Amino acid sequence: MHSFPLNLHGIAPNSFVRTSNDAVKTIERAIDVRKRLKSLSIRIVKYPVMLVVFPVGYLVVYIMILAYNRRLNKACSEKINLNNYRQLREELLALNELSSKLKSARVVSAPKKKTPWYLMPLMRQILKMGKTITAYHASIKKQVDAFDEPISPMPNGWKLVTGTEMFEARVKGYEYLI
Amino acid sequence: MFDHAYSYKFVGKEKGEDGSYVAHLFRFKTRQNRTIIFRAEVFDNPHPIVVVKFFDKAHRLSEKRFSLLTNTGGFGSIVATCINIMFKDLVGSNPYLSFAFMGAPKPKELAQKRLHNTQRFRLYALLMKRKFTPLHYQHAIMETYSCYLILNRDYCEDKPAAVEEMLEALKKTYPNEAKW
Repeated sequence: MHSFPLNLHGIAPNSFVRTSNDAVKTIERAIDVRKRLKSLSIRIVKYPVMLVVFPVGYLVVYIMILAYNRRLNKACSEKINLNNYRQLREELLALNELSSKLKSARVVSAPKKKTPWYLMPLMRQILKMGKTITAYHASIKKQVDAFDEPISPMPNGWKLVTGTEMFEARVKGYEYLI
Repeated sequence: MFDHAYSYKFVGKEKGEDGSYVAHLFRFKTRQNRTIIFRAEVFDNPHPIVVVKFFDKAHRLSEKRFSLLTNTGGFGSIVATCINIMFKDLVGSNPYLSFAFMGAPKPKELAQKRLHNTQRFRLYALLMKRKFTPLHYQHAIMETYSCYLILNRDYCEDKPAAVEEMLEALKKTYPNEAKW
């Protein structure tokens, strides 16, 4: 006699899921910091005391983003362990959100004036971060799209159920058994 | 609803009439004390594919055994048990198996001679989409005859003719039951 619960094969989260969640948080923080730095630089003219605070703060933020970029680069270049389709789709959703955030940030930050010279190194790091995330997004999307392609031509009358349709049919609490 | 599964028992094997498959028989008892027979007809030649069927033991002699209803409720647990058998016993013994089934018409649909997109087919299809991951299986449907195919990616990916040959074998064995 055999019996086992249906959710037995739910697989623990993989490392690649963490990547996008981290990235979402960090990119939000970076955009926020950049905006704050900009407003600070405007105020600097008014309050000369801030001249001392600004370079130190700027340096701290710059180093933080630099370190994050290194971590992100390493995380994105690691081989993705594909054993859970649901998590792969969730990763793609998170990355879609992240990409739209990056795009909107670019729209907001598109100034009529030129970016001040002292913000250029920081901007360069943020753009680098954006590029890494975009490349990672493209690789995940490619993998997801591969599951929507037929493995062999289907005979007449047969319709393929794509991975996307299957993902949309899922309900919370149901896990794939394999 | 589909989370609770009954414990089941392997009953034995039976050779198909034309020798093209070996039927693996399982049995389990529902809370309403109905005995359900689960039949997995395993084809090995030319490709490994299983046709899964189940029916109430009380209806075993009826020609309409796959269509008749038990009307006792607990359908979710019955289907969950069948999925358990598919995973634990069938995939467990051969990880390259593909699956095929048909959503049999209910008696009312049968009276209307309706085979298109039956209620059972719709329900089974939804469950299979949720349980068989697209990483390892590709799903295909034929709504006209309420047929469902779960293809094993590992096996079929490098064999472009496999699907057609599988369907050919099914057509040959079941010329009247379903239009594969």
